[in-house]
Amino acid sequence: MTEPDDFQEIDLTPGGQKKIGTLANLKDINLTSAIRARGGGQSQVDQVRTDYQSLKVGELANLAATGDADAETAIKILKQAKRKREK
Amino acid sequence: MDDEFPIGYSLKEVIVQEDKEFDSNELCLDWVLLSFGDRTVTLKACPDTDEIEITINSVDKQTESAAAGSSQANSMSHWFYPLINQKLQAVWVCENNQGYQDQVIFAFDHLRPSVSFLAEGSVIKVFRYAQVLRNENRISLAVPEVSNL
Repeated sequence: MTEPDDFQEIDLTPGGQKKIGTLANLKDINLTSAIRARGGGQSQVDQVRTDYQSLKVGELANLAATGDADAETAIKILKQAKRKREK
Repeated sequence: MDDEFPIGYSLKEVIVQEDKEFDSNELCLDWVLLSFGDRTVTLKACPDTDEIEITINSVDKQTESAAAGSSQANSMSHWFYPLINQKLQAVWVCENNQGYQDQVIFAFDHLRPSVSFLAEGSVIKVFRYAQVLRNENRISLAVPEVSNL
């Protein structure tokens, strides 16, 4: 599969790498798609600041490493997108 | 038993491994070890899920080694000083609405929350509790009134 012409790979900073953990393979996908890919739904997407929903996961990880609390929230929602177990 | 929190034991020392990769002023810990004499409680962040892994055991060579490697970070930690020599009264191991165990709350001296550890962004963050007092309710007067419909 070829990448679109405007595709730009995100370079993770060392801090961004740590924030994203083992989800580095999702770094070039926008957050909404990534949340859905990990089993989350619209409610998880809606938790995230609107203008961050379309950012790439790698961009958000790098922002989180700079102390951006909204980006930190977005990454955590992504990590915990799928409900772990039913009550 | 090794898997029980040391309820009734006094907190003697807190040892942390601080993560300094991030630019913010937040205290970010890779792990924190609470020592109650011959018993320790270690909390570690799980980067994959932002959960907290809890290990409770007797002091052994492994934890002593970990402590020796973090002496620098320990000397910078001041948030736990008021808790030293206070008895552990209760622990809440919290699971969030998604089913992830990402917060542990400790009560020292009384059966009220004293300090909590929350996993976020692949690290552990520390929060101190403060009870809201009656005279602080005045602050709520600053909130814009909702019109009566």
